[in-house]
Amino acid sequence: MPITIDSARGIFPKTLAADAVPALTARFNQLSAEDQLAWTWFAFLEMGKTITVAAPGAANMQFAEGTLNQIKQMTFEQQTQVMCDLANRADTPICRTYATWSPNIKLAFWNQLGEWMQQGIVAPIPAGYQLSANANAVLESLKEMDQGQQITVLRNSVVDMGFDASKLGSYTRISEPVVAPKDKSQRIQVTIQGLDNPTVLSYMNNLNANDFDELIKLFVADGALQPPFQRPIVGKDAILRFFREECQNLKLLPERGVAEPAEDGYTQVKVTGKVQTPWFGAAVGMNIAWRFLINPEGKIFFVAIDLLASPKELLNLVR
Amino acid sequence: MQVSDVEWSQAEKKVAQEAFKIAYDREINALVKKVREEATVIAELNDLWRLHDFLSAKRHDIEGKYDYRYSVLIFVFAKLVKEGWLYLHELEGLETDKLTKIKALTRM
Repeated sequence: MPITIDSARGIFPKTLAADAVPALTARFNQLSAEDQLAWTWFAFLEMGKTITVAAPGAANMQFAEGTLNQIKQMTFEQQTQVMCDLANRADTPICRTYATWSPNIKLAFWNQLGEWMQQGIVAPIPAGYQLSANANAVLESLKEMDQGQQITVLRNSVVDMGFDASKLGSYTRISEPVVAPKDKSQRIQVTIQGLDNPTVLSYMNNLNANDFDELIKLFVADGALQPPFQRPIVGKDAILRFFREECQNLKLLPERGVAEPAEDGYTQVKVTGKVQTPWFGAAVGMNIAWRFLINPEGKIFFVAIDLLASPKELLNLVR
Repeated sequence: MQVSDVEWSQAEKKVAQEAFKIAYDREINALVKKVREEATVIAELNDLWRLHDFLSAKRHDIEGKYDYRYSVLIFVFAKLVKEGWLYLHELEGLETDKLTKIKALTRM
């Protein structure tokens, strides 16, 4: 059987991903816009009991600043309408602007709105607002998830808001400035128990160092990267853009791995470990599996990053 | 019909809690039974996705319907009676005014 991206997606099939995440997002999407907004607020408060969001820097805030200031000038009623429009994925100028933003800018935007809601500058969720029974059920399910899954659900809810970007036609994507790679003296070399595959180690080390230009060289031209719960991103240009837009300042902490020969001289590798995001730092370690398919020349043909169902899955290196 | 400021006595609350649980257990048991039966006759992929869609819709329906808040309980009970998960006699002990309202709602 020839090796294709489709066949590559099936390596290490016993990897148990956190299906609860897309399932919860689907249930969230069935809620009304008002419920979704209030839910996001209550979920944000609930998580705030145990973890704090790291405030985004000015470099990230600059892109959302115009829209945020516009909203700051509005009446409470208008502000509530804007937030509902975003949740409703309506076609408004603000919703269209929002659609051009990368996930991190969207998160920074809502983080600021959340702070202003707490300070009374932006319309708060009304005191005594009661979530619908459906929304409460979804919130209870969120509470049962581990923190890595919770932040992923919340991220999904924010990313999916606003106008549908695929309907925008051509537009300029807005994302944070690309940081410079870490100085060689600042870089940490990971060690992975049971594995010394140089391609995989390079992947981890270069990503940790924000060295995306070196990182992309590890891929074949028609290679693919599959983020959690998404379709594969195919081709070096698209993968590089993904790294720059969504993977800055991640902290990859691989723990253990296994390498096996695959067909046609390829090697398949599975690594499990934790990943921290700049939003929560060491407070949240997502349980992750990386599944690589590496060609005979040592280049990455395919890598899937899976959010695991539970910490138990970190020990699952079975084929 | 003003139901938001209706009072529920301790005795009524006890009746309500029991009726709520009876209806819930009844519906869940019926659902589990149905899913077991449907699952055994799955022959092709579309059957599977139909079951998936059914379960997604059912979950949304059930989680939305079983809303134990006194401000909406009359409506909840009316719906449960209308759908057959609860019998009016299982609500005996609620004061007449509430029972009348529930009965009226079931006829809508």
